[in-house]
Amino acid sequence: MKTRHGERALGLSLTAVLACGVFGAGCRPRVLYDWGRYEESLQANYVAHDDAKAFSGLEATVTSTRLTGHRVPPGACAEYGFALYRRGNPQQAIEYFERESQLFPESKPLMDKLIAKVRGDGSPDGNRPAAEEPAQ
Amino acid sequence: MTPRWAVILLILAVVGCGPKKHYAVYFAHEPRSILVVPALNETTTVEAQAVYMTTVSRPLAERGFYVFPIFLTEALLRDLGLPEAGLVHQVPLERFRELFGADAVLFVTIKDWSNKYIVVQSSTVVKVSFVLKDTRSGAVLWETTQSAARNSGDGGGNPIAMLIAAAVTYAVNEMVDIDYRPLAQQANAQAFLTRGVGLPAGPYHPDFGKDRSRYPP
Repeated sequence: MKTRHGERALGLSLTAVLACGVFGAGCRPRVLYDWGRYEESLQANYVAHDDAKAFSGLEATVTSTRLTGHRVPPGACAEYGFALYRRGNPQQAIEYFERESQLFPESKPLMDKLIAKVRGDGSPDGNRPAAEEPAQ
Repeated sequence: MTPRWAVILLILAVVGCGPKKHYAVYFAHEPRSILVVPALNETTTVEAQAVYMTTVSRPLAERGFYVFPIFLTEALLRDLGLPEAGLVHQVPLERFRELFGADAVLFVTIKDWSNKYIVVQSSTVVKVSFVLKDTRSGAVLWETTQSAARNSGDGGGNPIAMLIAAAVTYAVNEMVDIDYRPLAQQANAQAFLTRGVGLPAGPYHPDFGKDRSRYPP
């Protein structure tokens, strides 16, 4: 039994070494972004259709990255802005669309369009927001 | 053959046998941003598309590309009268540039998403094809098809152990949903990361512009 374990461990380490050799870049423990609960939130959107969970996952993702100093992944601020808009918070939605385009200039054309739509009282996806924010 | 050698050979096979790819067109249009449009589902498993879509942003972004927000993308496409992947995949490429400002569009087709029982083993398979197209020229920049499989009943070649494992797996499969995400993630990783045939590093990756020699012209 013991030798079998040893053999298996050796097999695993050999495999790891080989995998490092052939995949090269994949071997370095380098991660570009702090993903937080972004994928969990996508699963809530796509699979569970749980809006509240999707929202809290996005919120945690964009705020946790602020705390740890890691980079927020592409798309997270835009998705969060869209979720805020759908919850009737156009002002904050615009802030996050702006943040996405600052972090990733590639998104600027789309973010500018979304901001213009929100400002023009149109909706980014053609639907009216769920509720208007109470006047401050 | 011992299991160790089987694993090593499998890895070599995955890496060594892919058709040789050419990257001259890719590097001529080198994209910074990728729009992943809803995947086309060619299988009979309805939920495959939704589950797949949750797996693709992360590995592409970690490869260094700007990846457009996929849920927002889908909502905007729906707003434009494109509620289905079949329709989206027909849209002229330049439209994606006008609408999203995307450099390239990744079209994903789910070819297989199934769990099969063969004698005492069950085999779960995810097979996905990828085509990356340039939004300026419409040129195909890169394409591949990858599959990932997981076999149950791996009792190390012992027939009785295999039989027991298969019975246990069968019982488990009957009770809970099969989790296809790890296989979809594996297919993505094989597609994007395999050296020499995957995707060259994008602009947010430290290897951007330095890894050209790994990708044949």
